[in-house]
Amino acid sequence: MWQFFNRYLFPSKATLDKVNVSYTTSTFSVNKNEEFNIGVLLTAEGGKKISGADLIFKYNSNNKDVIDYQSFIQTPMEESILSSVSSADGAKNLRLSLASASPEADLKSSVLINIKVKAKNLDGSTIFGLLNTAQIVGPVAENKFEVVIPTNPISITVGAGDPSATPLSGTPPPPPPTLTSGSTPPSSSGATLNLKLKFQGITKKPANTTSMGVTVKVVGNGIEATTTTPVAFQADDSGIWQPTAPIVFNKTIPAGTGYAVFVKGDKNTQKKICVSTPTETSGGTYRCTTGGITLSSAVNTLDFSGIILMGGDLPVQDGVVNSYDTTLVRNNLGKKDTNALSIADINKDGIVDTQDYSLIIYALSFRFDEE
Amino acid sequence: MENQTPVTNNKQDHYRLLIIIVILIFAGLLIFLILSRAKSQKTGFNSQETKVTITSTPALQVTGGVLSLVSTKQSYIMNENISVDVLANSQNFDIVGYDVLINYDSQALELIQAESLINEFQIFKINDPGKLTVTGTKNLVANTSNIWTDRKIIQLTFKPKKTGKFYINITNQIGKEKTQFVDSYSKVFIPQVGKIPVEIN
Repeated sequence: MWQFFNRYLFPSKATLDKVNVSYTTSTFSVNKNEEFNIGVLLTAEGGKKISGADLIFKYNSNNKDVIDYQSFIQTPMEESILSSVSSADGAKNLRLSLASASPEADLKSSVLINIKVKAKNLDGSTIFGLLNTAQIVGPVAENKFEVVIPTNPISITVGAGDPSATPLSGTPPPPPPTLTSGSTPPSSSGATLNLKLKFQGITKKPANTTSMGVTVKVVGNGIEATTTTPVAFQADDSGIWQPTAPIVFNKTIPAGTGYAVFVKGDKNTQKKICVSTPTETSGGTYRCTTGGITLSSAVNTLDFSGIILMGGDLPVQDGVVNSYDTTLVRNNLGKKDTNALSIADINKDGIVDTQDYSLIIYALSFRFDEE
Repeated sequence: MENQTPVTNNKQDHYRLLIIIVILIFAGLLIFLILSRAKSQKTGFNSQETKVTITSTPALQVTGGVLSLVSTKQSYIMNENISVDVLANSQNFDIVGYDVLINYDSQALELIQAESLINEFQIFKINDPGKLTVTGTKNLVANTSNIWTDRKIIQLTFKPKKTGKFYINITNQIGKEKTQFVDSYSKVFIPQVGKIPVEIN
């Protein structure tokens, strides 16, 4: 009787725990016939373990045949059922069912799912997003999580190639449709940013990853414009990262002076930058208070590679480097699997090792997101 | 018949008295239970440790463990260093890292030193006036488990600056920072926290 009351009438707090879903890359600009990976990270709050998931992704809306599903890449889950079905509105639905029979101790609180897709041989754009029917469960029977889905789906443009290059087709592709409403489309008259960034511990093009999600915020002139989802940045051979597509903000940024730009990488603390080409004598020591960046209504290239963005705030990020972050590195030492790399490989060299541990210990002295 | 009436009345009086006594005892027990429960909820647990007062901050739900402060003395004189230990109970979880946020009156106390009392743990501290953050992380080469039952993990040394009665508090949360334990599965626990009075004469 007591178990009945506890289980059914007064369910445990675990039923209220959340799993946050995020996309490792929010925007893709790819060539025709190009294969690329879509990373979907499931992160349970409070270190709860994930043992199963039923996820449906929607893409190619309105019968537009822009991308094809290719394969499903290694995840920590042991069983998977994948099916691709067409939905009533002409879109395609990709259903992914994951389950693990591992004991609770071997389960993870973060699960990275990589889905390989291929662009079709035509120009176009589509969105790829998780539907709100997603179900994720923990190892206990009644341990069903509340699933927090990203506000904006992934935007995929085929045929655009290099963002700085002229579009391949005669006219630029139309903006992709969205699965959700609420975001304000950027205005063409606002400032456009191109950033050059350098991250702690990364001195060359990483071997194990092609992109990093970076959140960008611009503050000044009474506005605060931010990217609603992390923007994909790619590294060159010297370890300098630039966005793979124009950065889309939730508000138009009018031309003007006095702006400050805030940037935060996927394993970093947030940095506030007040000039277009900042420098520092020692890594991580640049600080500023008053925004002094001038933005025009054209493309503004801001070279922030003279300073280093400190690592340390690991997923799930909370704006502070603390024992949770150091422990993530320590508990994943020596690991090379996708899940471990996605949460603790700070220098992106393909293994969680003592270098990452040294970086995070050093980051403890910087500790906070700059505001 | 005439003699039976006083006897009956006497018996009835005894019954009434007995019933009243039972009711009074019952009422007394009820009041005692209510007061005990209220006290237990306020203090967090029934501690026999008089030097430590446990308080819980409602902003964060306590999910496991206890961090409290203990000292061999409560009363100090000026120019005498105050030594306070952080006492940890990890409730059977194997701890690999922790954060402890400590508030103190910077007008009355000056932090001289914070040191780890467990060799396997390295600590990193940030001391702003009146606020100390200590992050402890287990050394990479340490392999033994750290399940703590009333284990002293940090020793704090303060220097008195003025006389009076003051409190040193472990607090659950300041801004984005939290007092927390992290175990060998990277699971985070929010512990009950405590404070200790310090009297400087």
